Amino acid sequence: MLVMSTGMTVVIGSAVLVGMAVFIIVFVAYYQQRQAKQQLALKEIQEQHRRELMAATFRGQEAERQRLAEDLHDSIGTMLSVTKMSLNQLNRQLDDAENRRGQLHKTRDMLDETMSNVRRISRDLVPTTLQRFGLLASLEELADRATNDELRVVLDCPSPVDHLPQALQLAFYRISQELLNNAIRHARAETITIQLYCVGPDARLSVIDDGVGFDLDTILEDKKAGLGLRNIESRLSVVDGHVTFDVAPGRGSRIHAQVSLDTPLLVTLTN
Amino acid sequence: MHQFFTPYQEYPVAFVAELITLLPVVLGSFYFRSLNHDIRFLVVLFFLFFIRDISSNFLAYFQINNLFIYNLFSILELVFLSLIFCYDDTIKVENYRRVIRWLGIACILASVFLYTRSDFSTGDFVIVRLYGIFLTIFFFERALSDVAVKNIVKYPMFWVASGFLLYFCGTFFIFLLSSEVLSSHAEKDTFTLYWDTNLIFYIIFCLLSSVGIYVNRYANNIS
Repeated sequence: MLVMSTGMTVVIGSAVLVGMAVFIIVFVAYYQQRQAKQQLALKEIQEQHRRELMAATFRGQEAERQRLAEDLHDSIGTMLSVTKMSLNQLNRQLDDAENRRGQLHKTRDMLDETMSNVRRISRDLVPTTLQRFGLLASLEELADRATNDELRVVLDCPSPVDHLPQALQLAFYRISQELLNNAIRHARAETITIQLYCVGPDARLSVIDDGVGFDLDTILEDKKAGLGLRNIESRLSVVDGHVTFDVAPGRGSRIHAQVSLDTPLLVTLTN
Repeated sequence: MHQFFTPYQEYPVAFVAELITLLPVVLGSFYFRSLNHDIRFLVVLFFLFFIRDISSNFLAYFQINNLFIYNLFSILELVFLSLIFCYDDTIKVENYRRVIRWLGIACILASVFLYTRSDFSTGDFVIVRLYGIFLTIFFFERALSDVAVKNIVKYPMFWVASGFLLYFCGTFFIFLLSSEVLSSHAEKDTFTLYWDTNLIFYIIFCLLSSVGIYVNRYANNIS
């Protein structure tokens, strides 16, 4: 009888404990999975929020550039034109004294240079060609402007790119501008190629140069020097794209920016 | 060889349990270099279990009381339980380790005090089980509170802790009442029934621990 009751105690006690153990194990696994999913969702929301902030920052930046460009063109540019006209008038009224005429020509040349600088700054601030004629035309203009006796900039774009969303066109334009500037200023390149390909659902922009190259880690460690490259990464993160740096000191650089046109984020930004 | 292994015809569950012990040992030896410290201690523990089984079988073959080996191993189990849970790096809180260490030392001292040589040392077995159940529940609680664990199913210590919990819960009452159901004056059928039940839970523990050792290879990518 004693053994029987002991047996029952063991059986019932063990069954209860094992039941509790199984419950704890299943609960831990289930609860942890749910917790992990919630964490993931929270991270996604935070990432989305960060992207929206970034997009808003870039929109604000563009709006500010637009305002600056308009101010430069409408007020300073106009004032300079009026000053030049006035100077021309003064020139006609002056006597033939050679030294006065020479001084006047010099002043007019300085004014011309200032006016062309204002136009250039205004154009750089707001890519009006991009707004009016699209990405291809604006990149052609960018390449033409950069080309001179010592530097050749080639644009390679075999397929039409008009269908690219406006946000992506602007991002690609700004990235090209940044990389072109870097190649001219720091890499001392002789030939720069801007490639723009649309392959399947992806759009890819590559800027390839034959310059002196650079060490990516060193540049990214330097907060000031790496700002441009980080800016490229930020711009691409807004359109859910990514950048690949194929760079090394002593050889030309190949930088590729790739964006999937199917990404829902890009669709949202476009709408 | 026959004096080292339990005869299959007479005690099939015991024979399977002895063979299953080799599974985590072989698996652990295969991946030993890539194993975390906690899992390495687990592999060593299983190897010691195997040594315990063959040495107790050897003594039993020559009709020598082998219960002292099991009693001694319950103290060794306490040491390894402390090491396994102390060296688990999921939980970064130092207090957690301090609790395990001091409680472990207290349990070991109590086990030494309660140690008996000629019969099942009920106190020792109960202490191991209570300490083990506490550690596993403590581990689960910390794992749920710590957000660093991304997917617990891919986490080796989840499987090991689950194995320990099932084994200790399933055998707690058997060893609590071992003076009646596993003692030398218990009927043979009664003894076999409860001993086999203990071995079945041990087999489950071996299998779950083997899963833990196997998933250890993903451990570095999940936290």
